Amino acid sequence: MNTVLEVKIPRLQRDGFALNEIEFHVEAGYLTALLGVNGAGKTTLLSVISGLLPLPENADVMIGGYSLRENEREAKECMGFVFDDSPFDEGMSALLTGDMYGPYYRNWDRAKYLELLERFEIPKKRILRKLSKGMKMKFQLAFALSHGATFLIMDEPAASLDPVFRDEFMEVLSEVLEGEECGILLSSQLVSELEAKADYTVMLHEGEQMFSNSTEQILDRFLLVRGRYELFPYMKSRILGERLSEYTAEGIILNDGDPVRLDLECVRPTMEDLMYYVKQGVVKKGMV
Amino acid sequence: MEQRRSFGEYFLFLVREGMFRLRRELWGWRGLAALVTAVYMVIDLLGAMESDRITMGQGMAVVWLVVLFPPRMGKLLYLLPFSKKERVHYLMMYLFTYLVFQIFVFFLVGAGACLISGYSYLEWLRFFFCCTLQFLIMYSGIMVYAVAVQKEQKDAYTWVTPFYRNVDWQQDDTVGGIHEDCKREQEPEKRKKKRTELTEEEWETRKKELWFNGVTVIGVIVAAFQVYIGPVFFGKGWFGTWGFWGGTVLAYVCAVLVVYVYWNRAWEEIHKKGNSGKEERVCNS
Repeated sequence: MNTVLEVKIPRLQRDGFALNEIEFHVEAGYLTALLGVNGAGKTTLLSVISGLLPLPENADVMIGGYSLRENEREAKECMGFVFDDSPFDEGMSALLTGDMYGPYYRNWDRAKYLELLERFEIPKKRILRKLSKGMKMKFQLAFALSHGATFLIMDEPAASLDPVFRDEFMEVLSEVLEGEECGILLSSQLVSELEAKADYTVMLHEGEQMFSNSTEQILDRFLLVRGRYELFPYMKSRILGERLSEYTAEGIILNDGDPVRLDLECVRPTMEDLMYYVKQGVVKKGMV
Repeated sequence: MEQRRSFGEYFLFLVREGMFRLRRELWGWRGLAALVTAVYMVIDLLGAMESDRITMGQGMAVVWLVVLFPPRMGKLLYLLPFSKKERVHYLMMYLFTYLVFQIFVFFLVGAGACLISGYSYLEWLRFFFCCTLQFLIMYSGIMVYAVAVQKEQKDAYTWVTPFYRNVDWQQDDTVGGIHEDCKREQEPEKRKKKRTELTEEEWETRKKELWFNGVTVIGVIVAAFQVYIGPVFFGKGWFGTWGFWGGTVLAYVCAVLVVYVYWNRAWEEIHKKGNSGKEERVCNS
């Protein structure tokens, strides 16, 4: 496997907020989801990786094998970005933006850029402000792919897209990954959709990295038990946390192979369930 | 397909960007505001012809202009693949193009105003080079710093104006902004240390900061005197005296000092981001 991103941040303190012991990597050909509730530190982490925030001492980020600290230019050549809040001047057309900023990349391929704009049905001469949200995302993607990025960093790219456009966008990402030359780190609040597509998941909570594993491994590590609350005391020692409603109760346990009472329904949790229990403080770092 | 970037290439890109900006910015509400500024300048020039004083509308108009067209660089300065050295080149060229753009727009508005009012354009230009250009140079220096510290796609003023820094929406959108639903480590309350409490290094930084701020304040006062107070208090008689020419030279010196000070600060900001600036083979080539 070809590693396109390696992150090692022992500690980052900024504006009263701290990121602690962040360490993960992204492989080419795979989609890695960066999840966490609001304020978990996702945007701060993405800002450090993309070079918008300075790297703290003892930390390093390697992009495409280049250290962001030592070889910033080379690292950035390998990185493409797709942000919800586009960094490009919205008063410029896609064509002009490409011609203005593309040549700053050594591997810029204008022909490919034009081809991608056509494929994504982006009007070349319309100013970016007049493009729909989905089109803006696709434009950023076209720009990133045209300079041969091997690592794509995406911050909430699908947040304000309608479901049809979102599917289309995710399809494009799947195609990008099929080539196995490019890896993607994607942060999103659309957890359920991302759960099905992400090969790996990094979950943050209050600046701490809770898990960094394959999505399947993380979800398989836990079980949700549902049923009448009166039955819960029999499993008290195994239940990490519970969520009660008027008619039913739900608890989360570690999936360690031990049998569960037959009169309790037992299902695999979703990432949303896990985020809920992480926020409750019952699912902790190191459990996966 | 390797492409090398030369200084000339930066220049051409940015001239193109400047020209595009000119076409774009003068359309819409900003264009309307530029038109209002031109009307104001016409009235001012008509007044200047009738009275003893010389035009002071330039000073007001130039303030309007810089407020209307803040440089917008956003995150790109840090996202594009630049080494530190290249980032500094790019910033220099960006600001140069931006200043040329500002001067070009100002000349255009002034020419229109002179044409309508019948005021001598040569006289208008003389006043521009003696009184107003220093202000624009000073402003460009401050903007170098503003663009260097700017991280979001917002107007560069956000990063130099305390008023903007204190409003809530700015905090919400900025990286590291405060989110209420998150427990944060509280930093100890910051109190300005007394001289005796400072280490030698901190005292050096404090002295540098004081010097920077002092130069800026003096520079702005001299520029304001040159462009507003002198012409208003001393009228036409002042135009052509030692006070005027001495003031011009002093204002240029101050402008250069302010640019120097802010360039230093921008340089420091850019160099906070780690990179050795080595040129190496790039992936995927």
